[in-house]
Amino acid sequence: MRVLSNEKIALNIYSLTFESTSALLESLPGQFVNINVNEEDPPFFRRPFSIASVRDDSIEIIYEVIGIGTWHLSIMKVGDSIDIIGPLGSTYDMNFSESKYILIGGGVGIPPLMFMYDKMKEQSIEPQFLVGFRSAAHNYMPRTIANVQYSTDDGSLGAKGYVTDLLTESLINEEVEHIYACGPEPMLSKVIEIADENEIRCSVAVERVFGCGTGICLGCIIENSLKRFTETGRKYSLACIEGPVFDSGDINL
Amino acid sequence: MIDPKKDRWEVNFSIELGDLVLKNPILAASGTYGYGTELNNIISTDDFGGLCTKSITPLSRDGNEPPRIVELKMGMLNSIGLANVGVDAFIQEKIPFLQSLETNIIVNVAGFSIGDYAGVIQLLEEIDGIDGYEINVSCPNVEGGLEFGSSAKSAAKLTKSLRAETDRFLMVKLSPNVTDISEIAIAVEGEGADAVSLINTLIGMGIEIESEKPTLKNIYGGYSGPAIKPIALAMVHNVYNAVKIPIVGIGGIMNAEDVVQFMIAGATAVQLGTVNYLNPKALTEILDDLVAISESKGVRNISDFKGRLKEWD
Repeated sequence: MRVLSNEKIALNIYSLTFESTSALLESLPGQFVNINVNEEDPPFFRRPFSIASVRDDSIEIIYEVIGIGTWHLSIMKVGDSIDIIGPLGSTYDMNFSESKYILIGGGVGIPPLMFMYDKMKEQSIEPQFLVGFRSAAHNYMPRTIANVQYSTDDGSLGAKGYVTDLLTESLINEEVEHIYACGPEPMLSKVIEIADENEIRCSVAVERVFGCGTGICLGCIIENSLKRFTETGRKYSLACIEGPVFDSGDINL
Repeated sequence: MIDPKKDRWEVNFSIELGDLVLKNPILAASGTYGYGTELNNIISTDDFGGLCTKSITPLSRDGNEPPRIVELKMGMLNSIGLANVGVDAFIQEKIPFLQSLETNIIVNVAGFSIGDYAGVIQLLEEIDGIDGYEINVSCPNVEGGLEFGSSAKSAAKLTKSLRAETDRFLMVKLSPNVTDISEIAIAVEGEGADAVSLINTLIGMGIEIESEKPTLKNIYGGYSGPAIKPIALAMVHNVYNAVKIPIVGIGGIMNAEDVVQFMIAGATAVQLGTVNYLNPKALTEILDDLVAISESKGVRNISDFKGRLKEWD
């Protein structure tokens, strides 16, 4: 596949788009692509990235440069060939009703929720979107997304503090059907705790080190909840093919 | 106009491995190709010369606690711990698909006593469509705690017991974590093994300085990937000089050059392992490139590469 664009959109954060395939055009929110970011040298494993949008035959991922793999990605130029496997993994539940939904994301965990937002808009659903960043400099939310509430660690954009505080506030006055979450694990744990207290269905997209991303290396395990263990007889699920999206009641974070 | 398709160099890829005839010398290594279904929408599994399944044990196993996989510069460490569905679910859920494949199905068998291995094979003997067994001897024997493959005596005893259970192709997958691998190859050949595959992963360990913890929860894991290829090549060469049964070379194979090197060292066939994680389409690329290498060497039968290693003057 060819790289169509690769631009910095916030502090150390890039948006990369590449040509799609017919299979990739069928991607759904929560699914990811597994990219060989560098043919010869490290990193050894491919790197997984959630799909942020599917538009006009192009697929977008958004990533933060945090190591050698994402650095290699950041220096790719328009027209470069990029080795991609996907779409892989499970998706957020897309059976919407008339009810109210919340999307809650932190840092570079927001892209799959941006994709979810697009799919909701196609069905004329306007979710509430809660996002948390370290600072205003890290904000990459596109202006096209309405109804966004921000939190930042330093208070430079929106409320100072955790995005989960915004969630708690939102739930005081609103009846919510389903919370969709993605972000750092402590954030996800807190979201699940709040959802449980309020008896709201909650889906989370998790991240693990993927050796393959295709369900064969069995490295990316996540512990099943007692409920799921009882149903399946298995202690673990695979984050790559059974996830990355799980119902919060199915796993122990 | 030159038509590269029409003028393509013709190579006979088929090889004989014991009584088996493989359409090409490339097998998928156990534990790196699941139960055959997982990658089937990315690559045609039928294109492999053979498929070695995930290790099958008598009962299902969840495997070790995480983290159980670690990335390294030239490879990886794993301590999956023989996670698998167990032989009963394997027969019910996985065998029907494997039977539909047009490639040789070699079931990898693991256990913690001779009875474990024998029990799995006894159940599989009733099933059609299985072409042979690969015995994972890198498992600790509950009686004594040492791995079956760690000594010639215990490897021979296991092989003898399993030879009595089956007339099917029986291949023993040797561990490199031994003093003299050829001694063990000789011992299993003596008890009727039809082939040996080598090498399994090397024992390795990583340490994270910040936490002062091992990178794997299990402390030790199996080291695989291109970093171990020179070790594997040396062991294949060593075993080739010691036994007459065919050798299936394994260890860090990433491309067609690697395949040819293993064959020159003495391997009849090879297995692709860790590369299946990184590049599920590696087989297709390797088969293409093998044609080019064969042409440059004037080779018409891929089996002609076997054991061609020359000496220095």
